[in-house]
Amino acid sequence: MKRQRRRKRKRPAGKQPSTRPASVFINCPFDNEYLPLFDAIVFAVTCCGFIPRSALESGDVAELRIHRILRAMFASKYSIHELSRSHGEGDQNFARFNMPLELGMAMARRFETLENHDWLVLVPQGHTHQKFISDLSGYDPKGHDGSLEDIVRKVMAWLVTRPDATLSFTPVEVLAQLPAFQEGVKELRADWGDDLPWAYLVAAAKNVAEQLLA
Amino acid sequence: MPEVFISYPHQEKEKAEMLASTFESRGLAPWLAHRDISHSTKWQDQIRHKLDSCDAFVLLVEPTTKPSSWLQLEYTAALESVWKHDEKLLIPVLTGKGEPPAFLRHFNVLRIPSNRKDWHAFSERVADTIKEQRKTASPTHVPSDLKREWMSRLHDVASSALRIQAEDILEGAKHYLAASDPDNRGAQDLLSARYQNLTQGTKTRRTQRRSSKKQTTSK
Repeated sequence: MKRQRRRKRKRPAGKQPSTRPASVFINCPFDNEYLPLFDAIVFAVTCCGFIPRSALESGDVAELRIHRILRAMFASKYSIHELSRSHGEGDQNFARFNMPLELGMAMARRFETLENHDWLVLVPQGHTHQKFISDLSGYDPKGHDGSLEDIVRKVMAWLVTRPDATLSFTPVEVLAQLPAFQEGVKELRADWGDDLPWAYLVAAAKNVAEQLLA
Repeated sequence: MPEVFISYPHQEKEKAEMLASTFESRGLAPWLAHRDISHSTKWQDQIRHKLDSCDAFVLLVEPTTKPSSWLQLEYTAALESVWKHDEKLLIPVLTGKGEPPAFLRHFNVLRIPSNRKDWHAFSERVADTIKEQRKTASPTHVPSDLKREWMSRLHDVASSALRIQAEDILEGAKHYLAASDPDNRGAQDLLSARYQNLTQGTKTRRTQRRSSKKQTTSK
């Protein structure tokens, strides 16, 4: 009997396969100065239909922090790396090396495991990054001016042009909902402090993001 | 003379050239990477410079093909630029059958005619739109199936975050137990089993959802 080849059902042209949303690992400073930008990135990622992840999602557990970061990073299809803290800080004028270190992990994920991983690098506006991280030339790091508007625009323009984006909104629409998210997060932080469970933060972003279609 | 950046996949070079020649005859300055890149400086830098400085973007998009990483970079830059500068235009042109990608939802998408003899008239229309700085009305209506898909995706985002958190707590507990009470195999096994249940449970729910979806579509 002639073996029948199973015909693949053809997906309507241009329609993306319906899959679980991809994760985006956010690698940025966790301090009060950066916090509003960090919240804006988490919200923008959720509004673009992706799962935000970060080193903060793991509480104070016995596993080494770097292992937890690696686990989250390697489970994410995308990552966002903030390298704008390139200057020395504090009494001893130390630079922050955690963010470049984690960018290196993302690169290892792509080039060593040959898995599909893509990243967005955020740097200070201008050309200073060509001096402090010149090896990145060719990877199109995005300079930003430190404002919420600029960072949301940059993150969204990158995320919505990924092949697995489903429905996109404009930064104007997302920024209009951002204060509601900030308000919700403020209340959560008042209740939980530094122990705010990551899933609660994402749930707050999701609840506000639902209003985008209202 | 308004500068127009034409982004195109390699296989649509001919259509891009046709648009460019019409644009030139209509007093526009089109820029095509394969034609206008000079050998004196890095080609990547030249493209980046043009993406920053042009007045309008025409994106030739093949809906059924996954764009190259370089095309994705052009889409990102074009989108960011028109979001930032109100006066800049972005005109998406689909070169084949199929739905436009998600990021073009806010633009009035044009479709290149399948009949070659209509190409010229079509490119004249695009040129006129650019010359008149005419922003085409953006579609605001979101189809209900897309709305449903979006809401379900948001739900997936939140539930995935919960699952990740639960997995993380168990993983942390396993490590803690292994370090503090290494001989307690029973407790370690229990945690491992819970961890497996959690990940398998997610898979089962996903399979169930998929099969119920199949049933719905077959009805």
